[in-house]
Amino acid sequence: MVDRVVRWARRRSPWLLHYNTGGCNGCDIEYLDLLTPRYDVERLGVIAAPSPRHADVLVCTGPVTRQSRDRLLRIYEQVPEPKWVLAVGACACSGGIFDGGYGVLGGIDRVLPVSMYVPGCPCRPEAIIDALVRLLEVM
Amino acid sequence: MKRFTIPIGPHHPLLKEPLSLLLDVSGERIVDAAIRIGYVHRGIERLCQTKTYVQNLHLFERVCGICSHVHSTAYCQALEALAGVEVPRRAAYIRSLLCELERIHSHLLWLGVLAEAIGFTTIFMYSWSDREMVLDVMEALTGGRVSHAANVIGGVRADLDPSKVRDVGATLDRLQRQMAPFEEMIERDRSFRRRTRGIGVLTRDEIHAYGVVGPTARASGCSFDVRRAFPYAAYPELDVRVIGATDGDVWARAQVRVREIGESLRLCRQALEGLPEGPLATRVPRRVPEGEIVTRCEAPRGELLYYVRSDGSDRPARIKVRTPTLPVLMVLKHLLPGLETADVAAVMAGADLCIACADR
Amino acid sequence: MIDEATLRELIEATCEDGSARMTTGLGGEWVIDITPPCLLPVVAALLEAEAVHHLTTITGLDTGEELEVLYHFWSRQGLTLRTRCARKGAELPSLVPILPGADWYEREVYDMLGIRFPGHPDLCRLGLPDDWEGAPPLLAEDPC
Repeated sequence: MVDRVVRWARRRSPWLLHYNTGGCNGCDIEYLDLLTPRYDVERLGVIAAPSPRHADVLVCTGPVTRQSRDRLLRIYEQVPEPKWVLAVGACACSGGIFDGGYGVLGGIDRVLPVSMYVPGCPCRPEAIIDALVRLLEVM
Repeated sequence: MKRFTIPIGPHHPLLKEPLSLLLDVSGERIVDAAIRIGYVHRGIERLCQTKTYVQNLHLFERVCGICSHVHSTAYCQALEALAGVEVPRRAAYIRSLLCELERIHSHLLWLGVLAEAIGFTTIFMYSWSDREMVLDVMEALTGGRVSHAANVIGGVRADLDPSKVRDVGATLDRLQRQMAPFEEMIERDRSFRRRTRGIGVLTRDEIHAYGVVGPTARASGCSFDVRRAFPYAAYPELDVRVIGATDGDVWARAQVRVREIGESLRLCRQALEGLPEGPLATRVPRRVPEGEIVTRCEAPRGELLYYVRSDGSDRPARIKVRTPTLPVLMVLKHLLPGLETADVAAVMAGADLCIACADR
Repeated sequence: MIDEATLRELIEATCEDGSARMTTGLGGEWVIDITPPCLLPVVAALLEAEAVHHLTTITGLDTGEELEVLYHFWSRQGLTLRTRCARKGAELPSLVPILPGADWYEREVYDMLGIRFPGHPDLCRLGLPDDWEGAPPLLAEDPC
């Protein structure tokens, strides 16, 4: 019974944590746009969590660079279960335009299990909202 | 008093991008600071040697998402100079227009980030909401909000028709009216002034010693602006006024950036009114003649330098990019000691750092 | 700032081995070729004469035969000093004691090409991770 309530609450208010693992910022600023008046995801119950320990969804932008890999893993480990990972943008999906370079290991799925891939370069805020709404159906 | 180290980052609510900042504090005072970058290092300068010049156009636009157009402009300028090709005037005007629109969106973004960092969330919401108007304009002109693909080597890709010009003008007028609350806040809001006045002062000597450029340098009395010193695109024909201040603190940097928004709006209108007729691009051969070139542009954060060495093939032998955030990062190590921990947010956010640019 | 004739005199006076060559490159850039021993005296003389406004960056590149290191300054126009060194084991004097702003640019050249800068206060990597084991990425033989 408690589980059903918790699950209901989580679906009504997923808290997001964002980490840029090596992106150009394009997707980051489109993600931040979600929190601002035009897109305003807070009306959907979504807020940016202050810490990995409060998050439900880890939103990753950018390809995984060599230096970012261990940090990304640590942050993922700190997010309590159940957790989901959103790979936002072409670079997070596959390494994007930087794939093949010595500095880049690839997309987020080289390091973490990704729940949903959101393509775009950069990804539009509407696409991120769409992805979130779809994710809620499986949460 | 005991000293201990506060690690900030690479993942931290204060930081918009990954960066490691280690603050040695004694009580509430910062005694020493160490900065480490490299989390966004994608190895672009090596990667570009494996791609053709045309492919690299898309790569260099993605060094940074915030100042993508000016990177692409500098890159194209360098190749056009090597090829001995002149960009048509209409294309030069469109490039400058987009550069100024980008400056407006970048400064509004920065204003929101600074306000949020010092707890003034309302201004973050207002400035980013107004910024959407600029992104709408860029989308109407190029099809992209953040990444425009507006340039081709030799000119620009898309044209402005008269109806678009009128709509853009009307939006810019609306945006001009929205600027009043921000100017008011900076000049008169007591809380904002207390959080930013006298904090993080940079002297002119430090500016020269570290090569700090852009609005940060102009807030300390330096008048270097690439649009005046090395006019590119349409700037030789536009009347650029250099905005400066002398206090050198976070408050002065805020003044300079907000006034630069007004100045950029004025330049956009000039560019729209003076838009000459003509073709959009000049043809540039696939193989760029052998040679080397240094070109500079004024990115929203300051002097952006591109050095290109070509060997006569269709791939670059070497491209070096120097972004304006690097000297600011260098000088932060000397700026942070002596501050109280509560002021770190204002100084870091007020510095307008772009780590993606710095790391490449 | 400085005009071309005075700059030429300054360079010739400072570069005692007479190896300095000044040309005007594409875009009007002043390009001065000097040997590594002249580097520190020339930069010190330029700073003393207030001939340069700031150092923009230091570019290192591998031509396949040798390494070129270019110091891009802004004077009243662009001014680039070029010096050359061997591909392996190269060392160039650090400018940091006279120009603090050279710090991270020298670190980047060290990181990307392996050139050392004796006199640098803390020559460590800038972009590459500390456990990087491959050859410096911008040396010509390193495959991407």
